[in-house]
Amino acid sequence: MLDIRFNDEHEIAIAGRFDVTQVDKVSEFLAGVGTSATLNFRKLEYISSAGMGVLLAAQKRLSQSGHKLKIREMSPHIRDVFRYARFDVLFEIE
Amino acid sequence: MVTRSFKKELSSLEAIFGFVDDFVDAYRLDDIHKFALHLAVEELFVNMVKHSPGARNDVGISLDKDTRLLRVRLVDTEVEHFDPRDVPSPQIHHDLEHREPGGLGLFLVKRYFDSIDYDYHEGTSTVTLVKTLEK
Repeated sequence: MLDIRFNDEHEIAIAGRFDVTQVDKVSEFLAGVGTSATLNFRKLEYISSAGMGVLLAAQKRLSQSGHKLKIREMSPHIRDVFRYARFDVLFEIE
Repeated sequence: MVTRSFKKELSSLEAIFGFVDDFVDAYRLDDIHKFALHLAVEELFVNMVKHSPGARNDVGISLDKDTRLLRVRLVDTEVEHFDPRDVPSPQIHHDLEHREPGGLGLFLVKRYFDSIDYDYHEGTSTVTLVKTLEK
């Protein structure tokens, strides 16, 4: 299960498990984001290559207009998988 | 060792993750191993779904742990030969403009596991992952 919504800090909070079955849900949400934004991963438990592909597609789209996604509060094991895929150089991670 | 069969469709993933979580709880594995198991079963299972669309046969998933090793095995029947070890690595050193979504799944699984073996016999594919546990 996965939940995605704007939190009180106007960040995009993603909670739960971002697996291949959640690709459409997150893609549709991020398609509505047209400027730089921050993703909050505090409650994100898991992400697979399918989920990472959605984030990469959004980052590529936003970069074309000079915008970007930043990521905050990433857990150590999600930080690991980002590092293995060299996503840590594609996203600013706080 | 625990083994269960799952219908070869993406909607099985929820039950597969539940199966993994029960195993993780039973052996008191930490979050890193839980993450690695989730990633392994999703990436391999999704590959099997994608490579035989419309197939209705089940995929068998086995999980095993002893004092030194963690093993994951997926068995898919009535399929063509597809050796996941032959899948080329994605171009992870490209800049954002030249990175493309896709191709990361097996690459990541290989990072988390020490070995990946493949066997094909009379239409049955068996993929086995082994990870050495740190003491």
